[in-house]
Amino acid sequence: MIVRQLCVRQSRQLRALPRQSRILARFSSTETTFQTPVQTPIAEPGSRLETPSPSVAVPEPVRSDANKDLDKGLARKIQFHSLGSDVTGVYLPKSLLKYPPKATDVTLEMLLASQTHLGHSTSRWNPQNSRYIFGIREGVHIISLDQTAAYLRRAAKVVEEVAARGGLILFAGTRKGQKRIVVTAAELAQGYHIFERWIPGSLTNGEQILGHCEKKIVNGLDDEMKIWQEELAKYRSLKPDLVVCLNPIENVVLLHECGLNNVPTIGIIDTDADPTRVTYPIPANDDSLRSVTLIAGVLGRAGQAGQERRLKEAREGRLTYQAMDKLSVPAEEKESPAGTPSAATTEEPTRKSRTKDEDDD
Amino acid sequence: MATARLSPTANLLRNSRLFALPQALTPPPTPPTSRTVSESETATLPHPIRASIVTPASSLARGDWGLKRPLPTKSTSEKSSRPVVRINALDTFEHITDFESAADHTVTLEKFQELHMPMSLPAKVNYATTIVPRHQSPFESHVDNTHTSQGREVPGARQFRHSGPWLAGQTEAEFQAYLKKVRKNKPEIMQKLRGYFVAKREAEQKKQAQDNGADMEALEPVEVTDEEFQDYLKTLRTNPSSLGPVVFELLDLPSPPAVPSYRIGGKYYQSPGTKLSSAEYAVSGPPKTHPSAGLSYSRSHALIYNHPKHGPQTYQRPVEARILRPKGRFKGKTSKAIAGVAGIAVEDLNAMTFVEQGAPAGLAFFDASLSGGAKYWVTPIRASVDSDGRIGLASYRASATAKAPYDIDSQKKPGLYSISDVARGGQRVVPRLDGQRGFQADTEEVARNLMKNLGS
Repeated sequence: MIVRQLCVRQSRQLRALPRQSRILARFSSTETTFQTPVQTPIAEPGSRLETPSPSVAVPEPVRSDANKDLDKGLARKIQFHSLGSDVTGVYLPKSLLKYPPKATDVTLEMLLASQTHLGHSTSRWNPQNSRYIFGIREGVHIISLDQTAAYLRRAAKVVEEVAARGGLILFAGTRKGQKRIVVTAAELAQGYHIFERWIPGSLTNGEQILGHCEKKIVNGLDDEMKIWQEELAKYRSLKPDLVVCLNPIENVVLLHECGLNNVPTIGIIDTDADPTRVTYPIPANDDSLRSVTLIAGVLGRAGQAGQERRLKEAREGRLTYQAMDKLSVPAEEKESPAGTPSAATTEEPTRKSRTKDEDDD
Repeated sequence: MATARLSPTANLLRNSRLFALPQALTPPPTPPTSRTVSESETATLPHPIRASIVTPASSLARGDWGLKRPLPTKSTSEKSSRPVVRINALDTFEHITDFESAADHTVTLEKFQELHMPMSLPAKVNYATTIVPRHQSPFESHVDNTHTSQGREVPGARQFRHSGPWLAGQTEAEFQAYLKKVRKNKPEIMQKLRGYFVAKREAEQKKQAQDNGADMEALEPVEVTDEEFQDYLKTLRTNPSSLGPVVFELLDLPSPPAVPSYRIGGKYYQSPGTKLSSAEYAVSGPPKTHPSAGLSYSRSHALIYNHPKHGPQTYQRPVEARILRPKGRFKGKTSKAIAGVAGIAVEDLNAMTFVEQGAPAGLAFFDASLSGGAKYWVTPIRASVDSDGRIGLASYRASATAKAPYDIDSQKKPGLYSISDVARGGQRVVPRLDGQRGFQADTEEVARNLMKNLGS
């Protein structure tokens, strides 16, 4: 009986303590004073324990030696973990992807650390890039850091302004390992992304390739406007207003189609790429994932700033872009959103397949 | 103060770690011989020629080595728990970063440092006697000098580097190129020679004054006329034995190997005594690196391991050596056994030409019955780097007293006749290679060692 009493109390006590400390105390103390009867009855079925017992009134829980050891161990652990120094300012690879810097925070040191200055082998160069090249070192061209910084800031400004005017931004990076980079940047900028393959003709022959995709019409606050399907079918699908290409060498077709459709493009131009393929080149290393992460992150941040600006304006009742004609909205939707009768059209092709990406349709 | 003003980009790039990587050294040259040299292209070089690179674990997981592109994990982090690479090219025409594992040299260095050996200056190890040359550290201030250091002004100071080339090691073309260079500098050299002549005359004058008991303070500065100087030149030209030392002094050349005995009677350009820190350098040429090669920076070999149970030990912990080649005839020459100690090939010093009693198994002949290859325990005693940059390690067989505190079980001793059945070819059963070898107490060796210690 008495033993069982002790058990109930003990197990409650044990439950109050973190399990980890119990193990620690057992290992760290040289003279282990655990009594087996204390531990074993924990496994007893609950029904037995709940049986009413005659002597319940014990005012103060008596701390056994074992418990005191536990307390001491816990105190020691807390004390130990508060010791030592906090190491700050360390490079954490994941932070570059999670918290990319703003374009104004980009420094030459950051670009250097991200290996943006390493170009290709000198035998691979495109002479049109000579203005971005700082020199030759160990057989590779070195891209000038200040050129990279300047062009990156310009491109970030372009992305921000396009986002602020409600443009559709498409991030395309189809190399291995660029998937997370592209998706993160597109999420920040509320744009779209491609990380597998650009289907040739998606722009020039978009009606055929992507015409079946779902469309939606949104208002100035990005709320979806419900209209009839027949009405919706009258609207043509949109093309992206800006394409950010992280590997222009592999995506020549995409850039060519953008050129045909007057879609401005931003591209990371390594020393072997053709800078005339894109509208706004960023001379940098496109092979290093760290360099691409930084550049895509900066552009994503710029897009985020632009979107925030646009939504703020919209909440104050101003549209940053030209409104489209009045819609014939279903009756119950008519007096809904916050004083923005005109709506921006943003179609989102949600093909159920893995690519949520597509740009235009 | 006088540094060129650099743009921020240039300054950053100059101070970056990638740009701080040293240029590759020239690989060790193949021996100049007409015979075919069969060497493996993938073999580990005698000394590293490129810097090794590591990366922190968080970046390693992403393949980020700070290079042009991420390195594939398959050949780095999946192959080794501590990958170290060396870069041959940052980028090639094929869009590939050319790299390879540098573990061969880094692990050899780690293993060498575990031996707790200081580096010594190279000295010829005489195989006839068992006496190993004394340890002399290359870090002593009277030998640790280059042609520019202040320490070489001290009388008797030696140096490990001269500004001039080692003529004995030059090819004809190199020598002609050097001659051309010297001829171009003729005016400066003549000026230097004139200074040398003046100093010589001053010393003579001083000596004469000393001998005559004249006033040393009242000596006039020596004036040398052009005529006198021309006469001096003529005497030098006619007498090779006096011209030799002057040439070596003026051009700061390391002295050549000793003149062969059949030439001693004739006329030759005498060279001054070697100033190099080791006599071995006069034979094989001045060293390519610092004589320690950065392998170890300790000066003394008086490092004693304090065993927790048995107290201070005379010997460092013995290391296991793999027998790479048993002794015997190799390429038509009798040679000593070669063992690998800490990744370095070492000739077995103790090996006798005759059949030894109690020698480790597998040393006298190849023994296929030893599982995992033949090994034995050695105590390294002396390490040095020769003028080609190769590590020379000398080691003795570990004695029983050296092995005793570490509970190292010796391999099974062969019986009274040290020739095993395998060697005789009379064996009729296939040896079990995976079997456990029995342990025998090495009482005989302990006794022999005790006698040796008592005798010495």
